[in-house]
Amino acid sequence: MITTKTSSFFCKLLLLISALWVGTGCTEVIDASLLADQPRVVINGLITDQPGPYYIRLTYSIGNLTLPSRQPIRNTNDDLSDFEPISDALVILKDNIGNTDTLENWRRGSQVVDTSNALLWHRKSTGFYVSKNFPQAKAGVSYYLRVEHKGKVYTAQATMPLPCPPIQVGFKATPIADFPLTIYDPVVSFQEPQDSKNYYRLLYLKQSIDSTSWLEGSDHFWPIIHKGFFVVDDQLLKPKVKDLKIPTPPGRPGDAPSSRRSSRVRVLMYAISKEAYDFFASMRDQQKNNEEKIFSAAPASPPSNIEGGALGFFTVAASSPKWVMSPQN
Amino acid sequence: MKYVLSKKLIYLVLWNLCMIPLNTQGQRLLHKNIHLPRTSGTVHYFLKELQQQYQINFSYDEKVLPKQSLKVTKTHWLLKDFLQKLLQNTRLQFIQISDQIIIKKDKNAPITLNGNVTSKADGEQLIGATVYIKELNTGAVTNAYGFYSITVPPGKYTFIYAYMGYQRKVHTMPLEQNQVQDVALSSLVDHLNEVEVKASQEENIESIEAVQMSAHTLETVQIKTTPMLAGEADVLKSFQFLPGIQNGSEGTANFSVRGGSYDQNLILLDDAPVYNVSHALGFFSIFNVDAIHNIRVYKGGIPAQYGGRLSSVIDIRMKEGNDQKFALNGGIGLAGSRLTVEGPIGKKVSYLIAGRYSYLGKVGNLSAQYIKKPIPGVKKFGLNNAIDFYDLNAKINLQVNEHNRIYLSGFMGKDHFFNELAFEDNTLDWGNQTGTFRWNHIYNARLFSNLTMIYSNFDYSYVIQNNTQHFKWMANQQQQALKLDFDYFASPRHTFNFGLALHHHRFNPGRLQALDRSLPLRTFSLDTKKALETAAYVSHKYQINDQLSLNYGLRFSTFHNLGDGIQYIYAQQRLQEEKIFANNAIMHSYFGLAPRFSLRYLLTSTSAVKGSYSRTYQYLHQISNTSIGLPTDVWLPVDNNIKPQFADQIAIGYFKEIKQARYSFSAEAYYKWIYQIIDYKDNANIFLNKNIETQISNGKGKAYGLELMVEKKKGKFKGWLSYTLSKVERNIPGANNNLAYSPRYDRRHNLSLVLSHDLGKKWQVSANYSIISGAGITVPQGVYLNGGNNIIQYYSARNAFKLPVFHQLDISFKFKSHQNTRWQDEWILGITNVYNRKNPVIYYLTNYHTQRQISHLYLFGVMPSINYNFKF
Repeated sequence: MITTKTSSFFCKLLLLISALWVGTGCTEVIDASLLADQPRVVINGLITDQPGPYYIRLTYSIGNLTLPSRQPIRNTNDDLSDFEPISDALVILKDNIGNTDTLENWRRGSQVVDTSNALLWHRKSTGFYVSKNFPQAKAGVSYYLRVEHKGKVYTAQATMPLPCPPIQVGFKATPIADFPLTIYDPVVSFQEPQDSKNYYRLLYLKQSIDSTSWLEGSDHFWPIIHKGFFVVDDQLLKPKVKDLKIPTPPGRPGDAPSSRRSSRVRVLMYAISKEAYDFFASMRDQQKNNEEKIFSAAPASPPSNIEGGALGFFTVAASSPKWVMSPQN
Repeated sequence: MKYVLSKKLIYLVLWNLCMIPLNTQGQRLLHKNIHLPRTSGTVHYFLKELQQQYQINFSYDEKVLPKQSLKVTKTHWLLKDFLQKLLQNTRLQFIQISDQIIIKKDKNAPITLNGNVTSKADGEQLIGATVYIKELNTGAVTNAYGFYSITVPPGKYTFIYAYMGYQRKVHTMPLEQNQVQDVALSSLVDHLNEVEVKASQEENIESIEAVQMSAHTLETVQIKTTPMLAGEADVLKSFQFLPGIQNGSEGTANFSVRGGSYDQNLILLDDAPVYNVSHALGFFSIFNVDAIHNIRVYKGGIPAQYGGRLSSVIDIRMKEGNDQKFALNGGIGLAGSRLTVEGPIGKKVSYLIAGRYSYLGKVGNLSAQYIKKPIPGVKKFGLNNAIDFYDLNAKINLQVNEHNRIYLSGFMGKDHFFNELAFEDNTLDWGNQTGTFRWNHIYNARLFSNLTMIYSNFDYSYVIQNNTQHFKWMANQQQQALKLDFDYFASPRHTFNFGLALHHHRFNPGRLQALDRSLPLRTFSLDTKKALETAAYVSHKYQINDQLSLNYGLRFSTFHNLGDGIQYIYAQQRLQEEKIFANNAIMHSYFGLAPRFSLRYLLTSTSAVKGSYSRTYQYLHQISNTSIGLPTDVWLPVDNNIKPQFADQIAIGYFKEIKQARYSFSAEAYYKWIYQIIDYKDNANIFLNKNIETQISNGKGKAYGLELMVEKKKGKFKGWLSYTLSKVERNIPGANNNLAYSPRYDRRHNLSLVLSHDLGKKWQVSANYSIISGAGITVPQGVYLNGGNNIIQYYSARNAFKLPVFHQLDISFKFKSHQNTRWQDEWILGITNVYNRKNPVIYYLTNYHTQRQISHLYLFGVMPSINYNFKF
């Protein structure tokens, strides 16, 4: 997607102008308790038209912006442990053709996922719930999520869109200057249906070549915790999309395949709804604008489709997954 | 006396004697049918012609007949009708005595005095100057071109010509026939000591008398003495010290008037609307004070001649150019330099050219180069900034003859931003161009007209280039307009204003051009939109008696979306249908009937109460969801999805002049209801959005407040203290989770002080001080996890968090040297934010992934400036 928000351009300008007169304008750290709020329930889930199981994740938000979470945030791959998980909720998935499933709390030791970062999973509950007997989702069917927790009920509903166009995946080589290394960014080509309005989310996951396990349901698990929010509105896409580059998530340069060694790469493209697009785009914009706000869009919480006061989003998307091997020198 | 009486007696006897035969013979003579050989000629010509052709016996003194040629519309007349037509506006009358028709002066016929009031030093027309007749306790006010007209019974009168900041002029003269009296007033600046005495002896005849309330006139002299950022005198920021005018972010040019949005202010430069008033993203306004003659701000009771915006009119008039002598002035400062030349060409033409160039980027580069060691943060801004702007004002006017004058004026401004390091390769350019042609025509001593042709254009473009994108985005909007306005000065008690206006709008909201063909982007354009806006208005100013005056009027406006284009039809937020329209086909129309009413009641000769009601319509709106507004915020017309905003405002006020008008006090209370007010919805995506109407919504708003002001207008020590207590609230579906909220500029208390003091002839010290309730902002209230280490913020309700109280003191010292020579100059040393108050404009979260912190950003610490100005 074209980067529509130009805020980084403008907000830095503010600092520039401020600096013109001996840099008198400035920023200062203030007492954070000024803005403190109560923690809230966060729900994220993903249902696709690929075979399950499907995952829903429940955590708490942190009301005081500067208080450390139960386990302090570290700039590591410790992706699942930063915020307090909710492990005692009732999570039910339904559709409008008669299927119902009560999801199970997924804990350490579950054999659903594995990656090269195996250590990550030897922890207790991460707030994930997994479906047990829910059939593969289908286009045109409506899906309902119901979460009960501490006397409160949170619900969401979404309909499966039409199938996502199949993709071809290649790699775009970018040599690193003065360094014997080439980065291979996955690029995607596909036929964009021009007769309908479409929105896409694209991401990729690199799997180390020596890791052999990529188990059932990973396509629904990883995207929930993936930090890339590359979403595209088809308004600007040519009918034949060629070599659309999927950016590496910000702050994760190591995620990109490189010439150091060949990687097995899972590339995922999702056809998503307008509401889901707005949600992911809102988070993408937050990532970009997170430090200077005066020239950026006026802030608002990412739009949620969950009723009952929870944060997060229940995504129902058609998916086009692909396994590819990245090149090696 | 005896002679007069005897003469009157003779006429009376003669008249009575004549009345008897008139019943028969007289009736026949005056009802005679006549045929004229031609339709134009002098009064004398027609009388001679009738005498010869029909043997009618006329008796008259040739000296009293007007010399100018007249034109009648037809050749066949009744003699009586023809004579009435012929002598209309001549102050002559006819009577029949026997078979003779006597033409003589009508000593009781009203006489009209008209003319122009100008500034003696440079010939500039003085707008809103008072022409006061002492004996009748009545008067007139000059219109937007310095023209006045006053019709009174014959007699000997004392005329007082007055204008704020100028020495009054008193003329005592007999009025026996229609007369033109042009008056040039001298500026008080040049006659300071002399005037102090005279002014105190005169009656107060100015602001109390006016029916208009909720309005302010700012003189450029006043604006130039107000300390400003970088010493750059700024029209729009000076306004912000007036009561009822609020700002959301200090240091920027956007402002809210009585709770209205930033786009609800109609800003006119020589009648041409200006759509973007900012240089350098709002830190400076585009109006060069050296080229400006007069600024009038209307906050309520807006006259019927203005329309198109809900909340205010800022009517800025450029100087006409000095018609007395060649003059040159300019200045050099930290932010930029400026130069103005003006002068006469012959006796009938004068011109003005004023230019300004800012080198902010270069100053920034030098700052970065030399202060990077003591202030390391500056280094990151790089050494190759190109943050520059210029603007150019030009005007020429020609006095064709005593009845016609034409003006041609233009403005052009451009901004450019480029910063290699901080912004990668992104650049932003924007600019305004306006042009105005005006033709003043005086039909007769009482009827004045002005025909205006207007052009206004605003465009911007920017280029974004980084790893995943490289494109250029361009947009513009244009307006052409034709206006015809009439001022009819029927009598001192009745003045009429009426006119017509036709505006054509064209909007190109955006076109994206991919600059790198290897990227899978296509060229993309948002729909071009066209519209036609029309208006007709009439207003009547009626002085019922010495105490009570009314001004009431009506403005009728229409707005039509024109093809070619696509009309989007939605049902429950989903696009249902696209209707295609041919070129210039009417796609959708709106109509608005806007009554305006104001009254003034004089309690005493120095105090008055005033009240007003006005309705206003707005058919264009600016879509912005940034905190302070950017050049990229687009203006769009209403359409079938977005309805026009309209507002009703009532205001009541008390006005008092104290100590021979050295001081004035005013108190005004207002309440404004805003209907179908527009705002963006939560999480709106308004950029590159083809269906932008889905991102905005109409709702209701209200604003109310109390404004107090004490002003010292005369003397060495001048200034004002203003206080505003106000509240603004909106309720718009889709915004703020459908709950009521206030805009950023809803600030409960606002106290402002503006002072200047002349210390002898060479030194002047000025100061501003403001203390204002904090602006409302949306703040992050918590974080949650959404994927990996993605910490997502969630926010408070819209603008629900109030920033701390804003307060700031600015001072400046002016030293004038060489005042008695042709070359005059002055040095201005200014300090903005004297005691280094850190007024935050925003709170935000930093260090997401390590040690999260809340920081605030403030724009300016203590900032000194030095400027040098010269005049030749």
